[in-house]
Amino acid sequence: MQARKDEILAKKAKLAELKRQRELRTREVSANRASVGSSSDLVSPSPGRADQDRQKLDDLIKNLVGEGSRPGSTGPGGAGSPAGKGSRPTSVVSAGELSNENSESATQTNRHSHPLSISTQILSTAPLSTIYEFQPSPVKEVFSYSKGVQTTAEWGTQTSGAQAFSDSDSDDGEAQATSTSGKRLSRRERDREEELRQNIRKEIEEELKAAQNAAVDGPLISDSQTTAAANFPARALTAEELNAVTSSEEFMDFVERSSKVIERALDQEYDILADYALSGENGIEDDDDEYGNTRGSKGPRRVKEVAQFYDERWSKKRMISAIDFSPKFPELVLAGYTKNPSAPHDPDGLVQVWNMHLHDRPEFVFHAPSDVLAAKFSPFHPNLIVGGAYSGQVFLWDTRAKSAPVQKTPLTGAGHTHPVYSVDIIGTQNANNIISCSTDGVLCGWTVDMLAQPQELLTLTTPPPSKTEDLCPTCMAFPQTDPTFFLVGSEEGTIFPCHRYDRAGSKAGVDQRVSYRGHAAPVMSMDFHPARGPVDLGDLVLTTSLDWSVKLWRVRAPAATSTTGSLSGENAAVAPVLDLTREDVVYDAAWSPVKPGVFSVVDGAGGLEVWDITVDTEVPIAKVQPSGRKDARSMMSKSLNRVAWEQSEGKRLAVGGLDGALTVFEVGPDIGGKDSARNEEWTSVKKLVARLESTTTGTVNGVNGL
Amino acid sequence: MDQSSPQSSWSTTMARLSSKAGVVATVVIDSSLGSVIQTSGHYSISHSKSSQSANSARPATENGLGQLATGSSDLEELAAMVWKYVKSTEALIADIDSEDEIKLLRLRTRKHELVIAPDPKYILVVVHEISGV
Repeated sequence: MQARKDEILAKKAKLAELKRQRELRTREVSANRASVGSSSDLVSPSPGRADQDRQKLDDLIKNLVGEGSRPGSTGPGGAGSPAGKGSRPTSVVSAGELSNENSESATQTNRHSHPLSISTQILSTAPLSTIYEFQPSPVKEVFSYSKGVQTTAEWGTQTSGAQAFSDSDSDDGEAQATSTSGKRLSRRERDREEELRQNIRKEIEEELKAAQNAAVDGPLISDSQTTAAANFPARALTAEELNAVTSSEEFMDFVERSSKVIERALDQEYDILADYALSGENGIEDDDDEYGNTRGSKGPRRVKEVAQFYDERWSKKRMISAIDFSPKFPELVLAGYTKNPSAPHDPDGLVQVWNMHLHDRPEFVFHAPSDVLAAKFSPFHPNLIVGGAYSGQVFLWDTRAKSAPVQKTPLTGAGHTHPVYSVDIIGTQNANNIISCSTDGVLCGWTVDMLAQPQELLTLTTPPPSKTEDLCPTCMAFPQTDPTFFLVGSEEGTIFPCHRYDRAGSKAGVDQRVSYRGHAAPVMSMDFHPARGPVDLGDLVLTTSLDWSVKLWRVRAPAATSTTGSLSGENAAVAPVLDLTREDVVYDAAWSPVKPGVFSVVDGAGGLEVWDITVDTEVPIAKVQPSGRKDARSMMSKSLNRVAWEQSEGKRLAVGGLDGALTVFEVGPDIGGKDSARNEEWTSVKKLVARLESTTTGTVNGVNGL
Repeated sequence: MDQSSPQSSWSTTMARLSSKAGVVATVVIDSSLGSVIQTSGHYSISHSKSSQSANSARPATENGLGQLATGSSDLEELAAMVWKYVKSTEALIADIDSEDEIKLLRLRTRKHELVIAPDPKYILVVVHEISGV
C-alpha cells in the first residue's frame, strides 16, 4: 500500500507540473495573439479558457468511459511517456492522441478506476486469482483434466468442435479478459464439450428409443402411412447429402459389388424351389427336343448354345481377337477385342472377362492403348492376364486392380516393334516367363514382375535355301512338356521348329534341319495336343490356315540326337499326317482338353465344327453356328476368329469373331465332360496317327525311316 | 471415358439392373440412417388382413431412375420394412456369432423374390418376379 501511495503522490506531482506547463503555454499563445492583433484581444482569452475546460472535460470523460473498457493496458500504458504528452495542450482530438491521453489519465485516476473496473468485472478477475493462489492442488487436477480434454477435444472437433469454440467465445462478454489464462479457457471448453457430449448422448438415446418404439409398434400399427412414418427412423436426405453420398467412392464401390452379386443371383437359372412332383412341364426339360437350331447334332453329340456375351457399351464394333477360359475359375472366360473405329476416344484395346453366371455385363473390363491381338489368363496366377497388342506392347492386367494394365512393356526398340499376335506363359509355378512373338520374327521372354526390358530376345530367321532371311511368324505354340522348344507358323505357310536356347547340335532360333510344309497360305493357329491321358499324344499339332485347310502334324522330338531321320541336316520337309479341307478360310482350331480325338474348328463362314478323329476323319461330328444378334450387320460379320475350350471339364466351348459377340456352347457327353474319355480312345488315336503317318510319308516322301 | 462421370457410371449400373427381365423395383438404402438414397420401378404394398408381407405388385411400368415421385411412397415404405428386416436379421446373426455378418438375403415369397445385399453402409434391394413357377 505504501508503494502505491508513493506512486500516486508522484503522479499527482507530475499532474501539477503538467497543469502548470499548460497554463504557461496558453498564456504564451494569448500573448502572441494579443501582439498580432489588438482587435481580437477581447475574444482571445475565452477560447483559450474554453480549450482548457474542454481538455479537462475530455480527460474526465475518458477516465470514466475509457477506463472501463480497457483495464488490461492501464499499467504499461501509463508508464509510457507522460512528459511528451503534456507538451501538447491543444485539444485537436485525434485518434492517436485520444488513446495516449486515455492511458495517461488512467494512471492519474488509478484509484478511481479500480473500483469501477471491479464492479463490472467481478465475475472474471476476482475468482480467477483466488483459484490460482490458494489452491495449488486443484491446479494439478486441472492438468489431468486437460489431458482428458485433449483427447475429447479431438473427438469434439470431428463432430462439431469448431462451432463449440465460437459459441464459447461469443457467449462470454469478458472473453478478452480471460483469454490470457489458457487453463481457464480449457476448463470452460471442457464444460462446453461435456455439455455437447451429453446432448449427443441424449440424441442417440432418443433415436434408439425411437427405433425401439418403432420395432415394438411396428407390427401393431396396421395403417400404412403411420407405419412408414413411425417405423422409419430415417429422415429424407437433402439433395446435397444425396449428392455427397452418391458421388462417394464408397458408394460406387458398393453399387458395383452388390449389383454384381444381385445380377448373379438373378441370372441363376436353376429354381431351387422347383417341385418336380407337381408337374412334368418343368421337371423333364433337359431333353433333346429344344436343340432344333443346332442342325442335326443331337443327343450325346449335341453342341448347345448356352450364353452369348455382348456389351452395348464396350463390345460394339469391335472384333474378338482372343478367347481364353480361366484355369482357376471355369465360369470365367476372357475375350480380347480390337479397336472400335467409331469411338476414337475409347481405348483401342479391350479385354473383357465374362462370367457364365452374369449374363448382361462383364465381370471385369480391362483397357489397353492399342488393339489387343492376344490375351491369356496366367495358368500360374488366377488374377493375372497377359495380352499382346498391335503396337508391339505386352500388357499385364490384374483382376484386383483397375482397368488399366498394371504393367506394360515400353514402346521402344528394346522389345517388339511389330504387332504381337501370340503370347503365352511358359514354365512352372515357381519359374515362369511370358513369351511373346511379333511379326518381325522377334521372340521375347519377360519376367512377370518386370516388363521394362525383355529377359531374353531371339530373332527368328528363315533358314538358308530361301530367297529372304525374313521370317514373319503369325502364331506360336509350345508343347506341354518342353518349355524350350516351340513351333512358329509363318506367313508363307511353312511351320518352323525353334529352340529358345543353344543346345547340343542346334543353336537357338529356327531349327534348320526340319520344317513342316503343307500350308499354302498364312498359318492362323497352332495347337499342341494337351495329352493328359494314358498315351502320350503331345507331339500332335493341329494347324489352320487361310488356304481353307486344317492339318494335323506329328512333330519330331526336338533333341537332335533323337531325330529319327538318319538324313540328319539339310531341310527335311515333313508333311502333315492328316489334311482336312474345308469350305472356307479356317481361323482357329483347338483340341479338347479331355477327349483325345476331339477338336473344334471355327471358320470364316461363321461355323463351329467339332471333330472326333476316332469317329470320322472326313466329316465333323457336329456343326453349329452361333445365333445371330438382332443388329448383326451383314453376312461378313459372321466370321469367327477364335475358339477355346474350358480346360478343366471340356464341356464348354467359346467362340467369337467379327461381330464382337462371345458365344459359349455346351457339348454333349460324347464330345466333352470329365469322365467321358475312355482309355481305348487314346490308343485308337495313337494307332490312327501311326497309320496315317505311314501312308503319307510313304506316298509323299518315302525317305523317312520306312 | 467412363471415369469422367462417376455419377453416370453407377446410375447406368442401376439402370441396367432395374431393366433386367423380371425386376420390379430397386431400392438403395443408407444402412445407418435408414434413408432412401435411390429408387426405381414401382411397387405397391397392400396390407391384407392375413399378413403384412403379402405384397402384390401392380403391372410394373419401368419408371425413370431416381424419381421419388409417384409410387415411391410405397417404395419408401418397402425400404422401411426391408431396413427393419435387415436390422433384425443382423441382430440374429450377431446373436449366433458376433464375428459373423450377413452377405446376402434372398427372400422368396409365392409372388416375388427380394434379393437384399446388405453392406456396412448401404443396402441394395431388388424385387423381382418369379417366372414360370
